[in-house]
Amino acid sequence: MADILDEIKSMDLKASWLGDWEFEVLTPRDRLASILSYLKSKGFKAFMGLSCVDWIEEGNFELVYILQSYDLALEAIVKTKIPRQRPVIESMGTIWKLCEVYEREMHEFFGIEFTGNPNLKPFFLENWLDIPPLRKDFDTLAFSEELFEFKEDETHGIESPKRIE
Amino acid sequence: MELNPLKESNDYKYYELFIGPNHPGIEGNFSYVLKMKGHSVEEVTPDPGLLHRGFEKLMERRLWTQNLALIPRICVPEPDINEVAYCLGVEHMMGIEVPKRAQYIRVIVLELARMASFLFGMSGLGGTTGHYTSVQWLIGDRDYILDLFEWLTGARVYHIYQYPGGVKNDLPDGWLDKLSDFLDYLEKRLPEYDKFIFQNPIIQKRTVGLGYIPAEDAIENGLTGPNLRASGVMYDIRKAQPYLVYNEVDFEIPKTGDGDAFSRVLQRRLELSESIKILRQCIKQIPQGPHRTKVPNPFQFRVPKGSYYSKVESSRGEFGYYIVSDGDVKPYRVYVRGPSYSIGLYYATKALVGMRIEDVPVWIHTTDMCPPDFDR
Repeated sequence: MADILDEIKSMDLKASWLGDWEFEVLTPRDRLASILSYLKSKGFKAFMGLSCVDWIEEGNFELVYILQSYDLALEAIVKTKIPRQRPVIESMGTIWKLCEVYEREMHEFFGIEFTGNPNLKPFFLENWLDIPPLRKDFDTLAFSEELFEFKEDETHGIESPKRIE
Repeated sequence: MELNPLKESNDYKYYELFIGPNHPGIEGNFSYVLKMKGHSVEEVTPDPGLLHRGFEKLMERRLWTQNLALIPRICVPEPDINEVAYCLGVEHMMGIEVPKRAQYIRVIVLELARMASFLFGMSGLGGTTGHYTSVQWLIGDRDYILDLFEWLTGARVYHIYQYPGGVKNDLPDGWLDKLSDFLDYLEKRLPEYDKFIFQNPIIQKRTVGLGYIPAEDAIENGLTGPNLRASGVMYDIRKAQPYLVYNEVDFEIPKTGDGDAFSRVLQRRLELSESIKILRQCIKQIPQGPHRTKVPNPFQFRVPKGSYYSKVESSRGEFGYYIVSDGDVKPYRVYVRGPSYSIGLYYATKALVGMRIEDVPVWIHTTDMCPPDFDR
Protein backbone atom coordinates (compact mmCIF):
# COMPACT_ATOMS: atom_id res chain seq x y z
CA MET A 1 0.00 0.00 0.00
CA ALA A 2 2.82 2.38 0.89
CA ASP A 3 4.74 1.29 -2.23
CA ILE A 4 2.68 3.45 -4.52
CA LEU A 5 3.54 6.52 -2.50
CA ASP A 6 7.26 5.75 -2.64
CA GLU A 7 7.03 5.28 -6.39
CA ILE A 8 5.36 8.64 -6.78
CA LYS A 9 7.95 10.29 -4.56
CA SER A 10 10.73 8.77 -6.66
CA MET A 11 9.25 10.65 -9.63
CA ASP A 12 10.17 13.98 -7.97
CA LEU A 13 6.62 14.74 -6.88
CA LYS A 14 5.37 15.74 -3.46
CA ALA A 15 3.04 13.15 -2.00
CA SER A 16 1.70 12.60 1.49
CA TRP A 17 -1.01 10.75 3.39
CA LEU A 18 -4.14 12.72 4.24
CA GLY A 19 -5.81 9.94 6.17
CA ASP A 20 -5.84 6.17 6.53
CA TRP A 21 -7.20 5.58 3.06
CA GLU A 22 -6.19 8.55 1.00
CA PHE A 23 -3.08 10.40 -0.14
CA GLU A 24 -2.47 13.59 -2.03
CA VAL A 25 -0.07 14.21 -4.89
CA LEU A 26 1.02 17.72 -5.81
CA THR A 27 2.04 18.00 -9.41
CA PRO A 28 3.00 20.79 -11.80
CA ARG A 29 0.44 21.24 -14.54
CA ASP A 30 2.60 19.92 -17.38
CA ARG A 31 2.94 16.55 -15.64
CA LEU A 32 -0.74 16.24 -14.71
CA ALA A 33 -1.80 14.08 -17.66
CA SER A 34 1.12 11.70 -17.22
CA ILE A 35 0.58 11.26 -13.48
CA LEU A 36 -3.15 10.66 -13.97
CA SER A 37 -2.50 8.03 -16.65
CA TYR A 38 0.18 6.47 -14.45
CA LEU A 39 -2.24 6.21 -11.53
CA LYS A 40 -4.93 4.80 -13.82
CA SER A 41 -2.53 2.10 -14.96
CA LYS A 42 -1.71 1.35 -11.31
CA GLY A 43 -5.34 0.54 -10.50
CA PHE A 44 -6.90 3.93 -9.83
CA LYS A 45 -9.45 3.27 -12.54
CA ALA A 46 -12.44 5.13 -11.18
CA PHE A 47 -12.70 8.88 -11.54
CA MET A 48 -14.64 10.22 -8.58
CA GLY A 49 -14.66 13.94 -9.07
CA LEU A 50 -13.00 17.16 -10.06
CA SER A 51 -13.01 20.15 -7.79
CA CYS A 52 -11.42 23.55 -7.87
CA VAL A 53 -10.24 25.88 -5.11
CA ASP A 54 -9.79 29.59 -5.74
CA TRP A 55 -6.66 30.74 -3.85
CA ILE A 56 -7.26 34.40 -4.59
CA GLU A 57 -4.40 35.77 -2.46
CA GLU A 58 -1.86 33.51 -4.14
CA GLY A 59 -3.42 34.24 -7.54
CA ASN A 60 -3.94 30.55 -8.33
CA PHE A 61 -6.67 28.10 -9.06
CA GLU A 62 -6.07 24.66 -7.59
CA LEU A 63 -7.60 21.79 -9.53
CA VAL A 64 -8.29 18.67 -7.49
CA TYR A 65 -8.75 15.30 -9.20
CA ILE A 66 -10.15 12.56 -6.99
CA LEU A 67 -9.41 8.99 -8.07
CA GLN A 68 -10.37 5.67 -6.52
CA SER A 69 -8.77 2.27 -6.64
CA TYR A 70 -11.08 -0.63 -5.87
CA ASP A 71 -8.26 -3.16 -5.65
CA LEU A 72 -6.09 -1.19 -3.23
CA ALA A 73 -9.07 0.43 -1.44
CA LEU A 74 -7.29 3.77 -1.69
CA GLU A 75 -8.20 7.26 -2.78
CA ALA A 76 -5.69 9.40 -4.67
CA ILE A 77 -6.13 13.15 -4.65
CA VAL A 78 -4.09 14.82 -7.36
CA LYS A 79 -3.68 18.58 -7.13
CA THR A 80 -2.27 21.06 -9.55
CA LYS A 81 -2.18 24.84 -9.63
CA ILE A 82 -2.79 27.13 -12.58
CA PRO A 83 -2.51 30.93 -12.63
CA ARG A 84 -5.70 32.82 -11.97
CA GLN A 85 -4.91 35.39 -14.64
CA ARG A 86 -4.85 32.88 -17.44
CA PRO A 87 -6.83 29.83 -16.33
CA VAL A 88 -6.23 27.39 -19.16
CA ILE A 89 -5.45 23.69 -18.81
CA GLU A 90 -5.67 20.62 -21.01
CA SER A 91 -8.81 18.54 -20.80
CA MET A 92 -8.39 15.09 -19.21
CA GLY A 93 -11.22 13.74 -21.36
CA THR A 94 -8.80 11.46 -23.15
CA ILE A 95 -8.11 9.55 -19.92
CA TRP A 96 -11.65 9.52 -18.57
CA LYS A 97 -14.43 10.63 -20.90
CA LEU A 98 -16.48 11.24 -17.76
CA CYS A 99 -14.05 13.99 -16.79
CA GLU A 100 -15.46 16.25 -19.51
CA VAL A 101 -18.74 16.65 -17.63
CA TYR A 102 -16.93 17.75 -14.48
CA GLU A 103 -14.80 20.11 -16.54
CA ARG A 104 -17.91 21.66 -18.02
CA GLU A 105 -19.12 22.40 -14.49
CA MET A 106 -15.77 23.87 -13.41
CA HIS A 107 -15.72 25.99 -16.55
CA GLU A 108 -19.08 27.39 -15.62
CA PHE A 109 -18.37 28.05 -11.95
CA PHE A 110 -14.72 29.15 -12.11
CA GLY A 111 -14.22 30.21 -15.72
CA ILE A 112 -11.42 27.74 -16.39
CA GLU A 113 -10.80 26.90 -20.04
CA PHE A 114 -10.19 23.22 -20.74
CA THR A 115 -8.52 22.92 -24.11
CA GLY A 116 -9.69 19.87 -25.99
CA ASN A 117 -13.07 19.66 -24.27
CA PRO A 118 -15.67 19.84 -27.05
CA ASN A 119 -18.58 20.81 -24.85
CA LEU A 120 -18.12 23.76 -22.49
CA LYS A 121 -21.59 25.21 -22.96
CA PRO A 122 -23.48 26.57 -19.93
CA PHE A 123 -24.70 23.69 -17.82
CA PHE A 124 -26.40 24.53 -14.54
CA LEU A 125 -26.81 28.27 -14.90
CA GLU A 126 -28.77 29.65 -17.80
CA ASN A 127 -28.23 33.22 -19.01
CA TRP A 128 -25.65 33.95 -16.31
CA LEU A 129 -24.77 37.64 -16.25
CA ASP A 130 -21.74 38.06 -13.97
CA ILE A 131 -18.28 36.60 -13.38
CA PRO A 132 -18.25 32.84 -12.63
CA PRO A 133 -20.05 32.57 -9.28
CA LEU A 134 -17.80 30.27 -7.25
CA ARG A 135 -14.81 32.57 -7.61
CA LYS A 136 -13.91 34.25 -4.34
CA ASP A 137 -14.27 37.77 -5.79
CA PHE A 138 -17.90 37.21 -6.76
CA ASP A 139 -20.03 39.19 -4.32
CA THR A 140 -23.44 37.59 -3.92
CA LEU A 141 -24.99 40.54 -2.08
CA ALA A 142 -23.81 43.15 -4.58
CA PHE A 143 -25.00 40.92 -7.42
CA SER A 144 -28.53 40.57 -6.09
CA GLU A 145 -28.74 44.23 -5.13
CA GLU A 146 -27.81 45.19 -8.66
CA LEU A 147 -30.06 42.66 -10.32
CA PHE A 148 -33.19 42.97 -8.24
CA GLU A 149 -34.94 46.19 -7.45
CA PHE A 150 -35.52 46.92 -3.79
CA LYS A 151 -38.99 48.39 -3.42
CA GLU A 152 -39.37 50.76 -0.48
CA ASP A 153 -43.14 50.50 -0.41
CA GLU A 154 -43.05 46.76 0.34
CA THR A 155 -40.84 47.06 3.40
CA HIS A 156 -43.59 48.01 5.89
CA GLY A 157 -41.17 50.31 7.65
CA ILE A 158 -38.33 47.75 7.84
CA GLU A 159 -34.96 49.08 6.75
CA SER A 160 -33.03 47.44 3.94
CA PRO A 161 -30.60 44.74 5.14
CA LYS A 162 -27.12 45.84 6.18
CA ARG A 163 -24.08 43.82 5.32
CA ILE A 164 -22.89 41.72 8.26
CA GLU A 165 -19.12 41.81 8.43
CA MET B 1 -33.36 24.94 -22.68
CA GLU B 2 -35.91 25.00 -25.47
CA LEU B 3 -37.25 22.33 -27.71
CA ASN B 4 -36.48 22.63 -31.40
CA PRO B 5 -39.64 22.98 -33.49
CA LEU B 6 -40.51 20.13 -35.82
CA LYS B 7 -39.40 20.68 -39.37
CA GLU B 8 -41.36 19.64 -42.42
CA SER B 9 -38.16 18.57 -44.10
CA ASN B 10 -37.44 15.56 -41.95
CA ASP B 11 -40.99 14.21 -42.36
CA TYR B 12 -41.59 14.30 -38.64
CA LYS B 13 -39.28 11.37 -38.31
CA TYR B 14 -37.45 12.82 -35.32
CA TYR B 15 -38.94 14.77 -32.49
CA GLU B 16 -37.69 16.10 -29.18
CA LEU B 17 -39.28 15.24 -25.90
CA PHE B 18 -38.77 16.47 -22.38
CA ILE B 19 -38.82 13.81 -19.72
CA GLY B 20 -39.13 15.80 -16.54
CA PRO B 21 -39.12 18.05 -14.60
CA ASN B 22 -42.79 17.25 -14.05
CA HIS B 23 -42.98 13.57 -14.72
CA PRO B 24 -43.66 10.64 -12.40
CA GLY B 25 -40.70 8.87 -13.97
CA ILE B 26 -38.08 11.36 -12.90
CA GLU B 27 -36.80 11.85 -9.38
CA GLY B 28 -36.73 15.52 -8.51
CA ASN B 29 -36.65 18.67 -10.59
CA PHE B 30 -34.48 17.59 -13.44
CA SER B 31 -35.06 16.72 -17.03
CA TYR B 32 -33.64 14.85 -19.96
CA VAL B 33 -34.27 16.14 -23.45
CA LEU B 34 -34.69 13.05 -25.58
CA LYS B 35 -34.36 13.11 -29.32
CA MET B 36 -36.80 10.45 -30.34
CA LYS B 37 -37.27 8.41 -33.46
CA GLY B 38 -40.64 6.78 -33.14
CA HIS B 39 -40.47 4.83 -29.90
CA SER B 40 -36.74 4.70 -29.44
CA VAL B 41 -34.29 7.20 -28.02
CA GLU B 42 -31.67 8.55 -30.40
CA GLU B 43 -29.91 11.16 -28.31
CA VAL B 44 -30.02 12.26 -24.67
CA THR B 45 -29.20 15.70 -23.30
CA PRO B 46 -29.38 16.18 -19.55
CA ASP B 47 -30.75 19.55 -18.51
CA PRO B 48 -29.86 20.25 -14.88
CA GLY B 49 -30.06 23.60 -13.15
CA LEU B 50 -33.71 23.75 -12.16
CA LEU B 51 -32.72 22.88 -8.61
CA HIS B 52 -29.41 24.66 -8.35
CA ARG B 53 -29.17 26.36 -4.98
CA GLY B 54 -25.47 27.13 -4.79
CA PHE B 55 -24.75 25.19 -1.60
CA GLU B 56 -21.01 25.26 -2.12
CA LYS B 57 -21.01 29.06 -2.23
CA LEU B 58 -23.44 29.36 0.67
CA MET B 59 -21.23 27.17 2.85
CA GLU B 60 -18.28 29.52 2.40
CA ARG B 61 -20.27 32.29 4.04
CA ARG B 62 -21.38 30.41 7.13
CA LEU B 63 -19.67 29.16 10.29
CA TRP B 64 -18.48 25.56 10.37
CA THR B 65 -21.34 24.54 12.62
CA GLN B 66 -23.97 26.70 10.92
CA ASN B 67 -23.44 24.66 7.79
CA LEU B 68 -24.97 21.66 9.51
CA ALA B 69 -28.40 23.20 9.02
CA LEU B 70 -27.71 23.64 5.32
CA ILE B 71 -26.09 20.35 4.43
CA PRO B 72 -29.05 17.96 4.89
CA ARG B 73 -30.88 19.87 2.17
CA ILE B 74 -28.43 18.72 -0.47
CA CYS B 75 -30.20 15.42 -0.97
CA VAL B 76 -33.76 15.07 0.23
CA PRO B 77 -34.09 11.30 0.73
CA GLU B 78 -30.80 10.92 2.62
CA PRO B 79 -30.08 13.97 4.74
CA ASP B 80 -28.23 12.16 7.56
CA ILE B 81 -25.61 10.78 5.23
CA ASN B 82 -24.58 14.33 4.27
CA GLU B 83 -24.39 15.41 7.89
CA VAL B 84 -22.21 12.47 8.89
CA ALA B 85 -19.86 12.86 5.89
CA TYR B 86 -19.32 16.53 6.71
CA CYS B 87 -18.83 15.87 10.43
CA LEU B 88 -16.34 13.05 9.72
CA GLY B 89 -14.29 15.44 7.60
CA VAL B 90 -14.33 18.24 10.17
CA GLU B 91 -13.49 15.85 13.01
CA HIS B 92 -10.58 14.36 11.08
CA MET B 93 -9.11 17.79 10.38
CA MET B 94 -9.54 18.95 13.98
CA GLY B 95 -8.42 15.65 15.47
CA ILE B 96 -11.58 15.20 17.52
CA GLU B 97 -12.19 11.75 19.02
CA VAL B 98 -15.83 10.75 18.90
CA PRO B 99 -17.10 8.70 21.86
CA LYS B 100 -17.99 5.09 21.16
CA ARG B 101 -21.64 5.56 21.99
CA ALA B 102 -21.94 8.44 19.53
CA GLN B 103 -20.34 6.31 16.83
CA TYR B 104 -22.89 3.58 17.43
CA ILE B 105 -25.72 6.11 17.34
CA ARG B 106 -24.35 7.40 14.04
CA VAL B 107 -24.28 3.91 12.56
CA ILE B 108 -27.88 3.37 13.68
CA VAL B 109 -28.94 6.68 12.13
CA LEU B 110 -27.02 5.98 8.92
CA GLU B 111 -28.49 2.52 8.48
CA LEU B 112 -32.01 3.77 9.19
CA ALA B 113 -31.46 6.52 6.63
CA ARG B 114 -30.25 3.98 4.09
CA MET B 115 -33.30 1.82 4.75
CA ALA B 116 -35.65 4.78 4.37
CA SER B 117 -33.94 5.69 1.13
CA PHE B 118 -34.10 2.11 -0.21
CA LEU B 119 -37.81 1.93 0.57
CA PHE B 120 -38.34 5.27 -1.14
CA GLY B 121 -36.33 4.16 -4.17
CA MET B 122 -38.09 0.83 -4.54
CA SER B 123 -41.47 2.53 -4.24
CA GLY B 124 -40.46 4.82 -7.11
CA LEU B 125 -40.07 1.77 -9.32
CA GLY B 126 -43.72 0.96 -8.61
CA GLY B 127 -44.71 4.39 -9.86
CA THR B 128 -42.99 3.90 -13.18
CA THR B 129 -44.29 0.40 -13.81
CA GLY B 130 -47.88 1.14 -12.83
CA HIS B 131 -47.58 -1.03 -9.72
CA TYR B 132 -49.06 1.43 -7.28
CA THR B 133 -49.53 -0.97 -4.39
CA SER B 134 -45.80 -1.02 -3.84
CA VAL B 135 -45.72 2.78 -3.71
CA GLN B 136 -48.27 2.87 -0.94
CA TRP B 137 -46.89 -0.05 1.04
CA LEU B 138 -43.27 1.01 0.94
CA ILE B 139 -43.93 4.69 1.60
CA GLY B 140 -46.16 3.57 4.47
CA ASP B 141 -43.37 1.48 5.96
CA ARG B 142 -40.86 4.28 5.47
CA ASP B 143 -43.13 6.41 7.59
CA TYR B 144 -42.41 4.22 10.62
CA ILE B 145 -38.72 5.10 10.19
CA LEU B 146 -39.63 8.78 10.01
CA ASP B 147 -41.63 8.34 13.23
CA LEU B 148 -38.52 6.94 14.90
CA PHE B 149 -36.49 9.88 13.61
CA GLU B 150 -39.11 12.31 14.86
CA TRP B 151 -38.85 10.85 18.33
CA LEU B 152 -35.07 10.88 18.23
CA THR B 153 -34.40 14.28 16.67
CA GLY B 154 -37.65 16.22 16.65
CA ALA B 155 -37.86 16.31 12.87
CA ARG B 156 -39.07 13.88 10.26
CA VAL B 157 -36.94 14.59 7.18
CA TYR B 158 -34.17 17.10 7.92
CA HIS B 159 -32.86 16.01 11.30
CA ILE B 160 -29.80 18.25 11.86
CA TYR B 161 -28.83 15.75 14.52
CA GLN B 162 -25.11 15.31 13.96
CA TYR B 163 -22.55 17.70 15.39
CA PRO B 164 -18.77 17.63 15.20
CA GLY B 165 -17.73 15.49 18.17
CA GLY B 166 -20.87 13.38 18.38
CA VAL B 167 -24.62 13.73 18.17
CA LYS B 168 -26.83 16.43 19.65
CA ASN B 169 -28.92 14.32 22.03
CA ASP B 170 -28.64 10.90 23.55
CA LEU B 171 -31.13 8.19 22.61
CA PRO B 172 -34.45 8.70 24.42
CA ASP B 173 -35.56 6.03 26.92
CA GLY B 174 -37.28 3.14 25.19
CA TRP B 175 -36.20 4.24 21.71
CA LEU B 176 -34.08 1.15 21.09
CA ASP B 177 -36.99 -1.13 22.10
CA LYS B 178 -39.20 0.67 19.62
CA LEU B 179 -36.52 0.29 16.96
CA SER B 180 -36.32 -3.40 17.74
CA ASP B 181 -40.10 -3.71 17.36
CA PHE B 182 -39.92 -1.93 14.03
CA LEU B 183 -37.22 -4.31 12.78
CA ASP B 184 -39.40 -7.28 13.76
CA TYR B 185 -42.26 -5.73 11.84
CA LEU B 186 -40.13 -5.01 8.77
CA GLU B 187 -38.69 -8.50 8.72
CA LYS B 188 -42.21 -9.91 8.58
CA ARG B 189 -42.97 -7.57 5.70
CA LEU B 190 -39.95 -8.45 3.59
CA PRO B 191 -41.29 -11.82 2.31
CA GLU B 192 -44.39 -9.93 1.21
CA TYR B 193 -42.24 -7.46 -0.72
CA ASP B 194 -40.45 -10.33 -2.39
CA LYS B 195 -43.75 -11.83 -3.43
CA PHE B 196 -45.36 -8.76 -4.88
CA ILE B 197 -42.33 -6.94 -6.27
CA PHE B 198 -39.60 -9.41 -7.10
CA GLN B 199 -41.76 -12.40 -8.04
CA ASN B 200 -44.23 -10.20 -9.89
CA PRO B 201 -44.22 -11.17 -13.58
CA ILE B 202 -44.92 -7.61 -14.72
CA ILE B 203 -41.99 -6.13 -12.79
CA GLN B 204 -39.76 -8.96 -13.98
CA LYS B 205 -40.78 -8.44 -17.58
CA ARG B 206 -40.10 -4.71 -17.34
CA THR B 207 -36.74 -4.91 -15.57
CA VAL B 208 -34.96 -8.20 -16.31
CA GLY B 209 -32.30 -7.61 -18.97
CA LEU B 210 -32.95 -3.88 -19.15
CA GLY B 211 -30.02 -1.48 -19.14
CA TYR B 212 -27.23 -3.97 -18.65
CA ILE B 213 -24.05 -2.36 -17.26
CA PRO B 214 -20.86 -4.45 -17.47
CA ALA B 215 -18.39 -4.21 -14.58
CA GLU B 216 -15.70 -2.39 -16.61
CA ASP B 217 -18.23 0.20 -17.75
CA ALA B 218 -19.41 0.70 -14.19
CA ILE B 219 -15.86 1.37 -12.95
CA GLU B 220 -14.87 3.54 -15.91
CA ASN B 221 -17.98 5.69 -15.59
CA GLY B 222 -17.70 6.36 -11.89
CA LEU B 223 -20.69 4.33 -10.71
CA THR B 224 -20.66 3.60 -6.99
CA GLY B 225 -22.72 1.86 -4.36
CA PRO B 226 -25.46 -0.66 -5.18
CA ASN B 227 -25.25 0.16 -8.90
CA LEU B 228 -21.58 -0.83 -8.93
CA ARG B 229 -22.14 -3.93 -6.80
CA ALA B 230 -25.02 -5.06 -8.97
CA SER B 231 -22.54 -5.11 -11.85
CA GLY B 232 -20.33 -7.49 -9.92
CA VAL B 233 -17.71 -5.21 -8.32
CA MET B 234 -17.98 -6.09 -4.66
CA TYR B 235 -16.78 -2.80 -3.25
CA ASP B 236 -18.40 -1.28 -0.20
CA ILE B 237 -16.75 1.59 1.67
CA ARG B 238 -18.11 0.22 4.94
CA LYS B 239 -16.08 -2.97 4.39
CA ALA B 240 -13.05 -1.72 2.46
CA GLN B 241 -12.33 1.49 4.34
CA PRO B 242 -14.37 1.09 7.52
CA TYR B 243 -15.38 4.29 9.27
CA LEU B 244 -17.22 4.73 12.60
CA VAL B 245 -17.80 1.24 14.07
CA TYR B 246 -18.55 -0.70 10.91
CA ASN B 247 -15.55 -2.93 11.65
CA GLU B 248 -17.24 -4.08 14.88
CA VAL B 249 -20.42 -5.31 13.21
CA ASP B 250 -20.74 -8.36 11.05
CA PHE B 251 -22.47 -8.06 7.69
CA GLU B 252 -22.20 -9.38 4.17
CA ILE B 253 -22.15 -7.67 0.82
CA PRO B 254 -24.92 -9.37 -1.12
CA LYS B 255 -23.97 -10.56 -4.56
CA THR B 256 -26.38 -10.31 -7.45
CA GLY B 257 -23.92 -9.49 -10.20
CA ASP B 258 -26.09 -9.45 -13.33
CA GLY B 259 -25.84 -5.72 -13.94
CA ASP B 260 -29.36 -5.31 -15.29
CA ALA B 261 -32.16 -3.20 -13.87
CA PHE B 262 -33.67 -6.09 -11.94
CA SER B 263 -30.43 -6.95 -10.18
CA ARG B 264 -29.94 -3.32 -9.20
CA VAL B 265 -33.28 -3.34 -7.39
CA LEU B 266 -32.61 -6.77 -5.95
CA GLN B 267 -29.25 -5.54 -4.68
CA ARG B 268 -31.03 -2.82 -2.72
CA ARG B 269 -33.55 -5.28 -1.35
CA LEU B 270 -30.78 -7.60 -0.11
CA GLU B 271 -28.82 -4.71 1.36
CA LEU B 272 -31.95 -3.76 3.25
CA SER B 273 -31.77 -7.14 5.01
CA GLU B 274 -28.11 -6.51 5.81
CA SER B 275 -29.03 -3.14 7.31
CA ILE B 276 -31.50 -4.89 9.60
CA LYS B 277 -28.69 -7.25 10.63
CA ILE B 278 -26.37 -4.32 11.40
CA LEU B 279 -29.05 -2.53 13.40
CA ARG B 280 -29.78 -5.63 15.51
CA GLN B 281 -26.09 -5.91 16.39
CA CYS B 282 -25.89 -2.22 17.22
CA ILE B 283 -28.85 -2.50 19.58
CA LYS B 284 -27.02 -5.30 21.40
CA GLN B 285 -23.54 -3.80 21.39
CA ILE B 286 -24.17 -0.10 22.03
CA PRO B 287 -22.14 0.93 25.09
CA GLN B 288 -23.04 3.43 27.79
CA GLY B 289 -21.16 6.69 27.93
CA PRO B 290 -21.19 10.25 26.69
CA HIS B 291 -22.87 10.99 23.37
CA ARG B 292 -20.55 13.84 22.41
CA THR B 293 -17.23 15.38 23.30
CA LYS B 294 -16.66 18.97 24.19
CA VAL B 295 -15.93 21.13 21.17
CA PRO B 296 -15.12 24.86 21.04
CA ASN B 297 -17.77 27.54 21.06
CA PRO B 298 -19.24 27.92 17.52
CA PHE B 299 -17.77 31.41 17.16
CA GLN B 300 -14.31 30.12 18.05
CA PHE B 301 -14.70 26.89 16.13
CA ARG B 302 -11.64 26.96 13.90
CA VAL B 303 -10.51 24.08 11.78
CA PRO B 304 -6.73 23.85 11.21
CA LYS B 305 -5.36 24.59 7.78
CA GLY B 306 -5.55 21.71 5.37
CA SER B 307 -7.84 19.63 3.25
CA TYR B 308 -9.54 16.27 3.52
CA TYR B 309 -11.88 14.14 1.45
CA SER B 310 -14.37 12.38 3.70
CA LYS B 311 -16.90 9.93 2.41
CA VAL B 312 -19.78 7.77 3.48
CA GLU B 313 -21.47 4.83 1.79
CA SER B 314 -24.95 6.15 1.09
CA SER B 315 -27.86 4.26 -0.38
CA ARG B 316 -26.80 5.51 -3.82
CA GLY B 317 -23.06 5.19 -3.52
CA GLU B 318 -20.14 7.27 -2.41
CA PHE B 319 -21.14 10.60 -0.90
CA GLY B 320 -17.96 12.60 -0.57
CA TYR B 321 -17.07 15.96 0.91
CA TYR B 322 -13.82 17.60 -0.08
CA ILE B 323 -13.26 20.18 2.63
CA VAL B 324 -10.60 22.90 2.52
CA SER B 325 -9.83 25.08 5.50
CA ASP B 326 -7.56 28.08 5.81
CA GLY B 327 -7.78 28.13 9.59
CA ASP B 328 -10.75 30.48 9.78
CA VAL B 329 -14.16 30.17 11.46
CA LYS B 330 -15.71 29.47 8.06
CA PRO B 331 -14.81 26.80 5.49
CA TYR B 332 -12.64 28.03 2.64
CA ARG B 333 -14.20 25.64 0.18
CA VAL B 334 -16.47 22.63 0.38
CA TYR B 335 -16.96 20.43 -2.66
CA VAL B 336 -19.77 17.90 -2.63
CA ARG B 337 -19.38 14.72 -4.64
CA GLY B 338 -22.89 13.44 -5.18
CA PRO B 339 -23.19 9.74 -6.02
CA SER B 340 -25.66 10.38 -8.86
CA TYR B 341 -23.47 12.88 -10.70
CA SER B 342 -21.68 10.48 -13.02
CA ILE B 343 -24.65 8.25 -13.75
CA GLY B 344 -27.18 11.05 -14.15
CA LEU B 345 -25.20 13.57 -16.15
CA TYR B 346 -22.85 11.34 -18.09
CA TYR B 347 -23.63 7.65 -18.17
CA ALA B 348 -27.34 8.18 -18.91
CA THR B 349 -26.43 9.89 -22.18
CA LYS B 350 -24.84 6.63 -23.32
CA ALA B 351 -27.06 4.07 -21.63
CA LEU B 352 -30.43 5.45 -22.67
CA VAL B 353 -29.61 5.51 -26.39
CA GLY B 354 -31.63 2.89 -28.24
CA MET B 355 -33.97 2.32 -25.33
CA ARG B 356 -37.72 2.47 -25.76
CA ILE B 357 -39.48 5.46 -24.26
CA GLU B 358 -41.40 3.47 -21.64
CA ASP B 359 -38.18 1.92 -20.34
CA VAL B 360 -36.48 5.26 -19.69
CA PRO B 361 -38.24 6.03 -16.37
CA VAL B 362 -37.71 2.43 -15.24
CA TRP B 363 -33.99 2.71 -15.95
CA ILE B 364 -33.81 6.04 -14.11
CA HIS B 365 -35.53 4.59 -11.06
CA THR B 366 -33.52 1.41 -10.92
CA THR B 367 -30.30 3.42 -10.83
CA ASP B 368 -31.95 5.34 -7.99
CA MET B 369 -30.49 8.69 -8.99
CA CYS B 370 -31.18 11.76 -6.94
CA PRO B 371 -30.91 14.97 -9.00
CA PRO B 372 -30.57 17.24 -5.93
CA ASP B 373 -27.15 15.77 -5.20
CA PHE B 374 -25.64 16.83 -8.49
CA ASP B 375 -27.72 19.98 -8.92
CA ARG B 376 -26.50 21.17 -5.57
